[in-house]
Amino acid sequence: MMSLIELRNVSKSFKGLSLFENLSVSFEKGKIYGIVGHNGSGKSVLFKMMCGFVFPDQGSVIVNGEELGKNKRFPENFGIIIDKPGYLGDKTGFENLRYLADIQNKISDEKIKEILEKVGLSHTIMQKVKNYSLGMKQKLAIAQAIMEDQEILLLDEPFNGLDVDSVENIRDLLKSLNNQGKTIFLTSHNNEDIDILCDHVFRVRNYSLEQLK
Amino acid sequence: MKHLISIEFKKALNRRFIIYSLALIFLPLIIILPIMNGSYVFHRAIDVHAQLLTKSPIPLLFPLLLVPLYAGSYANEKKDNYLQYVRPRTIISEYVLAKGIVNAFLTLLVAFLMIFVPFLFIQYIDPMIGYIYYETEFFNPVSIGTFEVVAQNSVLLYGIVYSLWVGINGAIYMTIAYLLTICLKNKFVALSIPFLWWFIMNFVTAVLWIERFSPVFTVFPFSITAQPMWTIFIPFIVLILIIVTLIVYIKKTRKVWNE
Repeated sequence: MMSLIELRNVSKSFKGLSLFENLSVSFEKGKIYGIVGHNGSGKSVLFKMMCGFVFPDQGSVIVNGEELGKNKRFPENFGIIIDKPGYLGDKTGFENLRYLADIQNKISDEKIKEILEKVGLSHTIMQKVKNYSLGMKQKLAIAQAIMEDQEILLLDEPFNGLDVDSVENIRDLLKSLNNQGKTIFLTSHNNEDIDILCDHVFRVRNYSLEQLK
Repeated sequence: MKHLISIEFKKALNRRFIIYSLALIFLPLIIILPIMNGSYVFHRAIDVHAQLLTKSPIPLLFPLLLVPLYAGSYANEKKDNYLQYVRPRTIISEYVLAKGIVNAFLTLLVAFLMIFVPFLFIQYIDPMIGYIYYETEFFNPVSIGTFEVVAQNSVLLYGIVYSLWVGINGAIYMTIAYLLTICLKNKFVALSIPFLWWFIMNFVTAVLWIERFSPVFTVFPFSITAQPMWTIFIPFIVLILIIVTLIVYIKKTRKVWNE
């Protein structure tokens, strides 16, 4: 069976610090993968390599059979949260999603409203995003990652800043997306999130990925 | 690309932009014209227009006044990590180009109207209402500067050419500001550099006795004597070279792609 994402002999340094050396790993479609590791271990860099934001110093990243950087810069159908939520501060949550969605023009206003409700944000909130709490910004980030029915989700700390009820809601949402066939990669400092959600767990250690589950 | 440009227009044309643009366009007429009226001897409508610009802060602060329009949009989106979420959806260099085009076009439009609307009022609307006082007995008009030569053929053409010239220069200055926000990490430094250039070059050319090449006298050629038309293109060419250099630097260092 062909892997959905494959890293072959990947080495990567970032700002003079070696993060991965000769890493080879493959991920299958339709699973939830958890990536754990201490701060600065390279989880975000791994995600950035997987979605084409950065290229490995050596080796290759193959998504759906195509090597990134050869024929393709960015793979299609990726929903991402990397580093922190991103937004247009002087627009509402709905406007933020509308402007992002307009780029590909795939979804309607109704779909955006539905997604906002799903992540626990009302589409009627007229508050500008710069005045949102961290949790609200995080929900908006999750909404943009899933609103266009992206097949592969790379979610770096998606539960950051969420209250207990919202964590439950987002866990249920991710499970239902996985049941629809989406492949999800997530990092979390909370082991409970990883234990509950993930089919497979990897730890970044010794410049490689060690499979824990 | 067309699609990305239309999204940028939608983003840019908000209430803040419209209020600020209207202020730039109408405040000189509302505040300065009443102060000038009766304090100076005017013979022709274009004298009033030239004097209105001389007395307004527009020539003094020109690049600074245009910065709030849209030049900082890339820097804001970078600071708030928004660009990260644009990248999986489109080719980022096309997105940045679309932003640059919209920034240049909107600046050109507002700077054009900032000169042209007062011109229309003074030249065509005021004669119907008679608000401005003109001296009719001793007709001795002074030169209104380099563009006077255009006015000798057609006053309307003078208004259009002058306004367009200021608009184009505004677009050039704000394109430099925009490109600098891509090159530099500090948004305030990047957006201040065009104004610093304006301010310092006005000073330097004055000290060197080559004021006819100063930014203020080439963008707003209202000096007491008209200077040859070619002189206004010298600083303009320098600005174009600066833009080309910045674009080459951004491409070579892959600034947009690597951030």
